Amino acid sequence: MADGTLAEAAPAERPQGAALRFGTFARRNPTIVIGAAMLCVMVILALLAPLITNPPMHAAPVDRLKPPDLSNFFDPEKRDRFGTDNLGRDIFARTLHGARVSLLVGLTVAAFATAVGLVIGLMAGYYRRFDAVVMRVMDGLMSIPSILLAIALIALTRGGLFLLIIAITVPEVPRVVRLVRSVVLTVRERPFVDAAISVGSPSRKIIIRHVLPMTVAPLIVQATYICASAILIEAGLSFLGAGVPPEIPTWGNMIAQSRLFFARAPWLIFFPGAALALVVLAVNLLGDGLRDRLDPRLARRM
Amino acid sequence: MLAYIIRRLAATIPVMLVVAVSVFLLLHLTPGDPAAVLAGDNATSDQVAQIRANLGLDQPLWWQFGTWLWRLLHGDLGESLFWGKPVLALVLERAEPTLSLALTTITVAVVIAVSLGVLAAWQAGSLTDRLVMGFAVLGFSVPVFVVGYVLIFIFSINLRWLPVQGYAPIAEGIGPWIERLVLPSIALGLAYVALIARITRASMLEVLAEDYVRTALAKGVAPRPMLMRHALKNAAVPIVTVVGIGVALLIGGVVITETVFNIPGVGRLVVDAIQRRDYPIIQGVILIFSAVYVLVNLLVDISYTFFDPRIRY
Repeated sequence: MADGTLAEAAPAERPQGAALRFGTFARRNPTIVIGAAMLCVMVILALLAPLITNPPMHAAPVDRLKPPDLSNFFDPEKRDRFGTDNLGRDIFARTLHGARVSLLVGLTVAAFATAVGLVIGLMAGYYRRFDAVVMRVMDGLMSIPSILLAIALIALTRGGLFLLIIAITVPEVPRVVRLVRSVVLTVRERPFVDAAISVGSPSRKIIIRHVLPMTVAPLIVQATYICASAILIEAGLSFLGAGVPPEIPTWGNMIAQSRLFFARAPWLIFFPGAALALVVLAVNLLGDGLRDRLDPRLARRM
Repeated sequence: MLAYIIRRLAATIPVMLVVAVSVFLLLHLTPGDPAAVLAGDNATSDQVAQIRANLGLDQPLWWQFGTWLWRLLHGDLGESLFWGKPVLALVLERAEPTLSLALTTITVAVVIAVSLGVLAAWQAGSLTDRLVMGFAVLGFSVPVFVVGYVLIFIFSINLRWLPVQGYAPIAEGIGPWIERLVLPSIALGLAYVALIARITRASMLEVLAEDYVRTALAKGVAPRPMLMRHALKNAAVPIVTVVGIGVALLIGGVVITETVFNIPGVGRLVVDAIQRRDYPIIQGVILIFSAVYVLVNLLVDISYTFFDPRIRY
């Protein structure tokens, strides 16, 4: 601890200040840095996928089930870096494209669930009249298994990315509501809220100026866990055939489509599976690191 | 105590009602004509009309909800569009594999997870602790189906120790039953073990810092009875809470695990219903699984008094 505070106080005038500060930050919060770095690489690869890989749906029956061959990795014509599947499609291209759906779903679900949950949670915590009803509804929604709720929505409609995102978001909202509500309930007993009330601040202003800021740290942590869980649920749904249409490659439907061949061609499952595990691991590491940094009280409890 | 149980039972009624209303509204608030979607693209207008009548979609909304709820309360979950049989009967036919898988997983997972968590807390900061916590983060991150296929690849295809897939009813003997449950249970239980081990460690760390633990050690209580009798019992409330909440994880996992390992259970029933757009089955299974979740957590609530006599109702 002692050398940490020294390093933090001194470095501004030195030329390598920023690097040193980053070094200290990385040493103290290794999981944040590792998680964020892994995630950044994944996001960049996902964004660049259409530019740097072959078309993911291009089938070439001559090249069926070729094993991975990592030689000449950067040859742009190469189609079997991670091997090919039963239709001769490029697994490397499909794995990178699969990242797009996973990350998009993970990030939007985290954003939606946090935003909706924040509003409902603030209301329920601050206006006690809503509380009982809102919390019963949240208890009910929470007891519906997410995957089944999504399956029902997909079966009733013709599916699609937006509905998928809604279906995964709904069961995550109650978790955010509970978290925000518990923060609001403790904050509203604090003297500064009484003080604000006594000088005549309107409720809206108290909520936004005094209560909202206290929810930010736990919400950021919660959002990362929601992101991880959304990515896993999306993959599960794609695997079960209840996700985005099969024309869009996702890690889940890649694994589902290779089920019959994987005894002969384990790479069909290895690469999308490893990519999926790495992304979720990165998000979880980031979440654990942020939790330890932003919310020491929670860190002790977990 | 009895009064408390009755009160808690009564409190589950509004929760189940919310579940029922949500599931009901799902069918009615989705855009488009659900009967047409469920009938599929090649359906005749007669078939669409038949599905509409089967689901009661031709009645006024309040009437639909009333009759639907009334039948629900009498255990009538409707009829499968594909099988033409009551959903409840179909679920009961497939209950054994699912229950076997879920119960073996819960039992084994809780024992392993609590042991790992206690060990990690007792030797906090040691290599063991780090290994357990590292495993816990990994266990959260690797999805059920990836674990499942890796296990099949290693233990069934390469080593040939265990059967690849399928299920053997318990009536045909314990040996084959267990043999076919080993890999699915590991795949399904991994995330559950990770979750419980983490909470166990955290809860134990808190208890181990208490004065009475120091006193017990000082008066010469051996570490094992100290951990098990004094510390674990006091650390139990958060642990059983997360065992209950974690059941949600298992319910989602069962659906996927049964698909990976080709187990003819309730999960497979739902997955097969997706392609057939057999909505009554999906709806019925949602209701049953939600009820199971609510009941498990009710039992957890009641068990608090057993672990912590200070909790009186």
